[in-house]
Amino acid sequence: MKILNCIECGLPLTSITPSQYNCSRGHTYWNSPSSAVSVIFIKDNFILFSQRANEPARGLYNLPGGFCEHMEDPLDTAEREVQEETGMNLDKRSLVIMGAYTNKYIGDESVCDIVFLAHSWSGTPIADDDSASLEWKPLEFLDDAYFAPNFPGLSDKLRSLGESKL
Amino acid sequence: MNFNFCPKCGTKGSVQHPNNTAYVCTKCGWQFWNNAKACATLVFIQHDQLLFSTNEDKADPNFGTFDLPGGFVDYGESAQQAAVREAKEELTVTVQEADLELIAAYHNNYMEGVTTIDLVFIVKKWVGDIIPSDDVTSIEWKSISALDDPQFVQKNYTGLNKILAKHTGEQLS
Repeated sequence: MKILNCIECGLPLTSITPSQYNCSRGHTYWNSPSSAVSVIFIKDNFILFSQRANEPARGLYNLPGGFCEHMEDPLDTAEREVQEETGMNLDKRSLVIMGAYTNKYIGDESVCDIVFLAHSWSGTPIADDDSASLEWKPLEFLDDAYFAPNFPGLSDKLRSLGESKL
Repeated sequence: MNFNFCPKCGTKGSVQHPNNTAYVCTKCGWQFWNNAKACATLVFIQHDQLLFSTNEDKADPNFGTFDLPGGFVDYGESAQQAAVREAKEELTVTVQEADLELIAAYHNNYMEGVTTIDLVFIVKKWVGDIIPSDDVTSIEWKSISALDDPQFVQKNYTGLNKILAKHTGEQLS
């Protein structure tokens, strides 16, 4: 937890619940999960995975994506993060929502990941920014120990899309 | 969000945030990204109508506006768990996670400096009578066109009426 002191009056904060931190004057800081997006690209039965260049989980893999910034729509986050990490241009209108999963992040922070399936994009993936390398791997890798996030049921959901995609 | 004090070193007035996105303390170097917070939004459908929470407080400047029920995802909670909890808290009904269908996600300018990402779930089945409770004081069933009404508080739910029209059509057939 990075928030130790009340942002309104400077007094120490104590945890009422893991979501709620109060100071003795009654000001509240809400530690609710931040939102992030992850994007699934499928090509020739393989999914594009990104090896993390930075902590947390440096060296492990995730899907291209990142945090939704202030005033940013999740579809715009997807376009921006894909551009930053892979250099590819994503058509946000082609994104189909597949699920939402909450995972622990750093310390007492958690993140709610929204997973989209991309149907239209252009360019060839070249790793940059938070991505050390980009690799096409089979669907099963979503359940591998080297895949950092926990997206329970996502691989089954993708399998059920049928052979047209996988 | 306004940081009068640095949450790490406690210095007054040291946190700078030129654009509400990144915050940094000029004294201790503490850095914070003001990322959007996850919320669950609930869509109950019955007889081709949607359930809205309504503001019927004549003393409130927002009198007459209406919204979809829902709320913040708590720490450690999935959006689905938050949806189930909010359905119980705000409407007193019991919902199973398996009866939730995630259909969209929109950003919402919740208040000055705070953005939420609203994960929109269709509630396919619920048990119990819908009774307004907690943050919800009154409810009303309205047609899908109410989503385009200026009194509907959410302005960023682009295309939700089309997505829902498809789903209600499926429910009717």
